[in-house]
Amino acid sequence: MTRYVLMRLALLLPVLLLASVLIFLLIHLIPGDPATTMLGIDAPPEQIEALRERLGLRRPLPVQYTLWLGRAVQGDLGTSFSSGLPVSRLLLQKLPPTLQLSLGALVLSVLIAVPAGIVAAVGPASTGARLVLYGTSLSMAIPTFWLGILLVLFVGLRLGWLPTSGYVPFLEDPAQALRLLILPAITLSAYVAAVLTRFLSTALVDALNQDYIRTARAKGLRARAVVVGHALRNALIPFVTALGLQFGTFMGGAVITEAIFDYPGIGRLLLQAVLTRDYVVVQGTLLFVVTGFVIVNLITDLVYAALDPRIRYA
Amino acid sequence: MTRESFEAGKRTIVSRREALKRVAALVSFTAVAACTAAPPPAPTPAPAARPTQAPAPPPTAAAAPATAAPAARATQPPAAPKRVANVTFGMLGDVTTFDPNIAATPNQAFFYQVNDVLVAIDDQGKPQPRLAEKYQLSPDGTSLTLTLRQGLKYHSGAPLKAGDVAKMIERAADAKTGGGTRGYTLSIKDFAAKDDQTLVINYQQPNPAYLNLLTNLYMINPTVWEDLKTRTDGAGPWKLVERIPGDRIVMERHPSFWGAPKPYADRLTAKLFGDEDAMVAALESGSIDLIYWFPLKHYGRLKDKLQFFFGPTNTRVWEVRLQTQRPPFNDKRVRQAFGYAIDRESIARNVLFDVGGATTHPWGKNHPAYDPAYDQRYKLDANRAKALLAAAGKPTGKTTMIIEATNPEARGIATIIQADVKKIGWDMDIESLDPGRFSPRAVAGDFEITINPSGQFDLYTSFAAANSAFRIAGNPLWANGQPPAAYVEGIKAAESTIDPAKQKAAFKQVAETLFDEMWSIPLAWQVTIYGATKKVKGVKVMAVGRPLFEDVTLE
Repeated sequence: MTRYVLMRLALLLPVLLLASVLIFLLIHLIPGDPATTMLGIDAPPEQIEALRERLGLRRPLPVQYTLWLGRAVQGDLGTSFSSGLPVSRLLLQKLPPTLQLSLGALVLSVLIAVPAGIVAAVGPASTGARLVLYGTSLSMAIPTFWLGILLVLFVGLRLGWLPTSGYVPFLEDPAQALRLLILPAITLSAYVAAVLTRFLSTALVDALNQDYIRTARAKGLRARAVVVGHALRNALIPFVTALGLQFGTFMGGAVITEAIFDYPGIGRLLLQAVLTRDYVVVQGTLLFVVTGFVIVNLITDLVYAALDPRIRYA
Repeated sequence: MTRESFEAGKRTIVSRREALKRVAALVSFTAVAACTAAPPPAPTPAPAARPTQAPAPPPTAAAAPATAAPAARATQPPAAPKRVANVTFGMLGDVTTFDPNIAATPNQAFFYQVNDVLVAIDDQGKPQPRLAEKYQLSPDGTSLTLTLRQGLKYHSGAPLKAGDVAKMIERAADAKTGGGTRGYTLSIKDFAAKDDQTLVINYQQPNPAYLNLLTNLYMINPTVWEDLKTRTDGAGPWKLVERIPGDRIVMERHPSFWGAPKPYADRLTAKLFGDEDAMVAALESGSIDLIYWFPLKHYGRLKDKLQFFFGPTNTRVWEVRLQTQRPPFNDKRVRQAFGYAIDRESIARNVLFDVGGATTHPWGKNHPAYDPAYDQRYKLDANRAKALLAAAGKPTGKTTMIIEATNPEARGIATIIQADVKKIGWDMDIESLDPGRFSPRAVAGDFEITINPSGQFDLYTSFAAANSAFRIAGNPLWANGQPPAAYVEGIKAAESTIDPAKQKAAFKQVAETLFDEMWSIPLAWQVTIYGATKKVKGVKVMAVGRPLFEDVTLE
């Protein structure tokens, strides 16, 4: 196990290094210029040039990359062209809303996926299973932006049941925070809940066909005990793995959801930075997200390896 | 599967057809319930009048008399409006810097509240003293004496003196720090503070546009100049207290504001949005009280549900910019043909909801450049357009227009122009670019044709400095950055005389050159609109569409 852990840790560095190169090149290869985007098309040319000089954009790309990476490994992700604030401070500001939205979407996904997955697995020919099937198909087919706009239009504006935008930290006002979270969480979780439902139902069906389940039934255990007490617990292992990966996806920035609901998270920060060619923010944010994703992935693999020895020796 | 669950499943099995019917019924019911949930709109009062009154006169006063403080205008002060705790206004984008010299136009909403200017021009074109109590231009127009109000203080409590104004002018005049404000200082010969209240500015020649600097010089405490990316210290009605990039900016009333008892709200919050639809939804749901620069595409739908405040008509104009350095628009007959081919009325009606109206020139009725005959120039005339193209030897052709993807009006206008030029035998592709790609190309003149709203046409010759297409040097639409000599001479002549007759003659030369060479085709006025809930009172929209929220209160 130790050898496995060390091997996985050793792989972390080259992965992050490669990611940093790709991130840097990607944003710089996109046509556009931060100086003119910031100052507008009618800015005097000398002002634009002065800003380019001040932002360090006149330096060769390898020099810019080296300087950026050198600071990044020390925890300095640079200073935003637009706001003048350190990128790390921006990320710290945007992280709580993103965490709140991600957790909310995750909880909602689980609350939907677990019972729906059980219903679909236990009675595949039942009405419930068919509803789950149609529901998950619909959820996977509906574009996120369309669902979000519909929710804003009908639930927020027509019915006036819930607010259409904004963010309040949960600890500051739990009731208001939840009210503001419902619509974006539904939007963000719809697709994921559908995927997780199908994932769980498949895993559960597999588990229910195992010999130990036959034994449990033969012992006279009630159906509920067999399904929940035995089959589900085994089916949850791969489910939790998938859940962990989905959380990483949420954290990466629910760009569309945050834009529709004006949620001040990392997704919106990233979108705005790309549109305004705020290279430093894009680089820092993507590196942060990639690092988080890689670490979550690593932890998941290590936990999985700890639970299942076959993985370590593969 | 257990026997128990199998038996349970058998009892509850329904056919696929039945299941589909039940789902369809549920969805339909939900849709109908949602669609009919909204109550019919209550009768609403007429929306705010559009600016059909005479546009603002430009600040061309020759030997203007000293202006007194506003107290002299009212003999009976009205009852003070109700004080409120907080007013929230939405705006797109973010305040990217606290330096007004280099900030983009949308940031003006912030600077007017926090920094304040020496003089402001209201929506009727009348100068309103702000930090400057009075100003006096000498009879020959070469010297301006400015007197500040007594007891002015920055938000930090430090006194604002004439010496600070001198430093701000110096900063504006510096090529490194002046940014867009520098253009207003080019005519200055020297300046000096005579005492804490008095500043004298001497010009190289008679300066009819002296108010341009006074209305664009936002005051900032010199002690914070080094860090204008993250902090500021102004003298406006609101003090900056909190800034969360991409989310909100919170301001509190300045306890030592010269215009006390204003502002009437204790707190003003600028809620920042990245998406205009989300911003409008927030206004509709009441999460915010008003919107600075309301997106026009929602105006038609909401004009009876909300109230609207309109800026002056004569400030910004949608115009087509044509690159004269490359085909096909290197031939002025082709440029003129496009001028005759475009249906401006259709653009004003279908894209801009008749807010402001169509125009064939960029000057309002009170500007020295205005001539009623100009309203008849370049009226829609497809036959004349075709004749011009034939004379140019280009009865058919093709061009590509670049537009900024995030501007919905640009898309609508471009589509109408595309249809209009099709009628005269030309094809026009529309290339929609995100701001990061559009801006560099627009700055470099790397296009054949584009559209853009250009501003400051109410401020004498400000338009020539504020818009690259109208610059007399460094103009990206002309070879070597030089527009036609007659245009340049006209602008320079207008900038060097305070004689109304000479100003008129100079601007006539400018206008005639513009009409003849047609590198810019004015289409329609772009009016700044503020949308608000019905309980908002006291929104003032000043010249150039800038908002003043010191009178805002909520019923």
